[in-house]
Amino acid sequence: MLHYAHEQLQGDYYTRAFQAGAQEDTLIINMGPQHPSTHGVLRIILELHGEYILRAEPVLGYVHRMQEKMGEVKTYPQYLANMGRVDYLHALAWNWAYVRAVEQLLELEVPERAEYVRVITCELNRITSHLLWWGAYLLDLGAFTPIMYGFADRERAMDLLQIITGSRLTYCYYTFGGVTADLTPQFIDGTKDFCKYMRTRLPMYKDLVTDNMILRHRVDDIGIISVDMARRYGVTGPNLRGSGVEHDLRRNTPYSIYDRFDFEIPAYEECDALARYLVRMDEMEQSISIIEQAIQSLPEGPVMPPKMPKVIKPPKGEAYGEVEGARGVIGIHVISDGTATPYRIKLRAPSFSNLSLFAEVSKGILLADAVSILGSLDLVIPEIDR
Amino acid sequence: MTMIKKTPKQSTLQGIKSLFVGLKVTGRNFVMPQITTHYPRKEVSNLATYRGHVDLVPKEDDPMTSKCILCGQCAKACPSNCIELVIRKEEVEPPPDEEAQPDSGSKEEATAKSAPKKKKVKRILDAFMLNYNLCSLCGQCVQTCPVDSLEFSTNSYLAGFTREEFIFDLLERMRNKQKASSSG
Amino acid sequence: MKQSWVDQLNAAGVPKCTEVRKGVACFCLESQNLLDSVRKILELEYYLQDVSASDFQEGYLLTYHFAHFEEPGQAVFRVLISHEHPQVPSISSFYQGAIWHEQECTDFYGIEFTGHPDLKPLLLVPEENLCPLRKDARSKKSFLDIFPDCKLVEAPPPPESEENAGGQESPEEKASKKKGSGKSKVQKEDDETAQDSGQA
Repeated sequence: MLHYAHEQLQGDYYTRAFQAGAQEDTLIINMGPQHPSTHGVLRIILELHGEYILRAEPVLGYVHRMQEKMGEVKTYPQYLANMGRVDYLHALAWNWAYVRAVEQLLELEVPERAEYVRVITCELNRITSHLLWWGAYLLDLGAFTPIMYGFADRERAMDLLQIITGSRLTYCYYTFGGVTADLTPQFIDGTKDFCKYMRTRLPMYKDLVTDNMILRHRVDDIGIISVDMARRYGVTGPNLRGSGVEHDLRRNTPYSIYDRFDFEIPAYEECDALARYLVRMDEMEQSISIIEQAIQSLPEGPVMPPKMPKVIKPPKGEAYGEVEGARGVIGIHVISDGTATPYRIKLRAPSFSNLSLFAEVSKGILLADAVSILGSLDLVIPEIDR
Repeated sequence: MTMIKKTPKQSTLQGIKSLFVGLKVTGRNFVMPQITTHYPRKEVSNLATYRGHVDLVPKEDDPMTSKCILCGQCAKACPSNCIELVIRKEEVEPPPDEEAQPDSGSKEEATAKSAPKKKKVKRILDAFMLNYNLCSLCGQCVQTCPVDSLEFSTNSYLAGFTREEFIFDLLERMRNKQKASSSG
Repeated sequence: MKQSWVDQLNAAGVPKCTEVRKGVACFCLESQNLLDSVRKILELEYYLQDVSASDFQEGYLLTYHFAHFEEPGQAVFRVLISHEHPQVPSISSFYQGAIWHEQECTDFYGIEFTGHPDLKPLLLVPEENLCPLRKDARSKKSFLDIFPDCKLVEAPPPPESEENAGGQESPEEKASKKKGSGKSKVQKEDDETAQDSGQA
């Protein structure tokens, strides 16, 4: 027979702190850290009254890697490899945010072709991210098949990205001033085919899942995030656009060359999980359109600036690199003291802000709906914990 | 230009119809050919573009020596310190053999100090150690190499039981590869 | 023409700002003014991007980033607090999203946010007080050296705590203020640039 020490039976620090505020006759359970619907090691302590959630508290830090400290001991180029590991689903957006911040410090001009290459690859990566979210969210809701379709299509996009980046998930492709490798004809032809192919797949997704009655019942009117709540918590990205705000950095403060493309910012006014779902489905279509336009007008030229400093030593100052990622506004705040290592790097992870509202949004809902809400927020745990 | 849309609402009848539409999609896919690859019997086709660990590039004229000029830039650039150059110093007679080591020790401060004036010191690469356990495949070493002596291998089937198996001597690997290609 | 976002910020009565970079307006605040300014910026419907701290010779620099859903531009609040009394009022009563950001700052630097609902460790182990991002005396740099547009002012004698000081406006900003004009030259020029801001 196993014997536990008294302290072990009391639970850990967070459980004890949570229990202290509990009402009588309620059930306290841990959802996670190994729960399939949290897509990683996220733990949420819940206080339940029957099936209803009275109180929820996410416990973070299970995959905390102290990325910000690593930034202070590595040189600027060495830190590039970390960026793909913060959010592994939309790694190129994090790559981009970091190189943008350093390019602002260095006042580097990025060649035109490199900007196009960045747009094409970043949007392709956004599609892969949304496809994985789509499959995984439906898996949470109990539909097993969609993830198979999602993965099969995502696989195609990842094969394409592998042609130029060499990796399939944790890309380290952008570099200060440009990109490390030029596009190949194989990639361009493959991407054109992929765009055509995806245009036939998206209506199929609609038939198979989006219009499905069972899905509608799981997502309609679930997890209402009002605009005011979004503002107080700093929610961005598709979650915000699902609350009826057309905020997208690609449109609001068009960075890179996004002002040259014609695309829509999908937004729905219902503020529920269905709205967030539809925003992401529409966004994939817009990304395809951006990729097609970018390939159409892809200029010739170099992908790196002609003169690059041998050692990256930005002048003193600070920069804030912002990029619209698949989950929201990615911000990297770099403070440089004039040496080859950053003085301070702060990573603004969109999922961190998006999850922080969970305690408020989950009050008084059913436990099964909490799974639906968590999935609809599209969380990536390594990004939250950093 | 853009509009905030409303989520489309569904009547019960439409909802029931949606189930059959979904079933039709499933039925269509049921008769489609298999898209997965049964691994040990078949291989996926995209391995050629995989970017694995680095490999040394041999010289065109002498396939047994690498292009490496022993500058150590790659080791410095590596974020996880997984590259180590094992360098042997050898004293050579005054008429030095230029073609073997064209850039010998011009950059390295250590040799500049210790080099005796009369005899030239030749630096020879004994081993190029890569600790693949630590490598994060970022490609910084390949980018910083001034003479393009590093390339990515496409070796995706790496497996082993101990960590020591993943500490490679890239020089030896390169020579073995050259030998194999010349004999076969 | 519509009022530019910098003017709007200034008109709302938040202490005067300087536009340090294109599309970025910086407010150097003292910790006692922080809550007031945060309340005003919430009224202007800005959302909270992040709260971060960094360690300088002069003290801990707290940086609050705000942006707007519709308007371009980013507002930055800087608050400098001393090493001896690392205390700053929590903004979590206005922006609940700041709760986690502030907990994170406490994890990394040991800064105390007064009025925070629950200042327990968020990302690091709760059993130890590590403060891993504090810098040792040797590697600490001067805040003024990195941000030359700021200058330290002597804090008015605070009622109970003695926070050091907030940075202040740039010289030209100060000059224009003396002339009594509400808007400085620097900001007026930026009216056009603010529209397509963000791209550096």
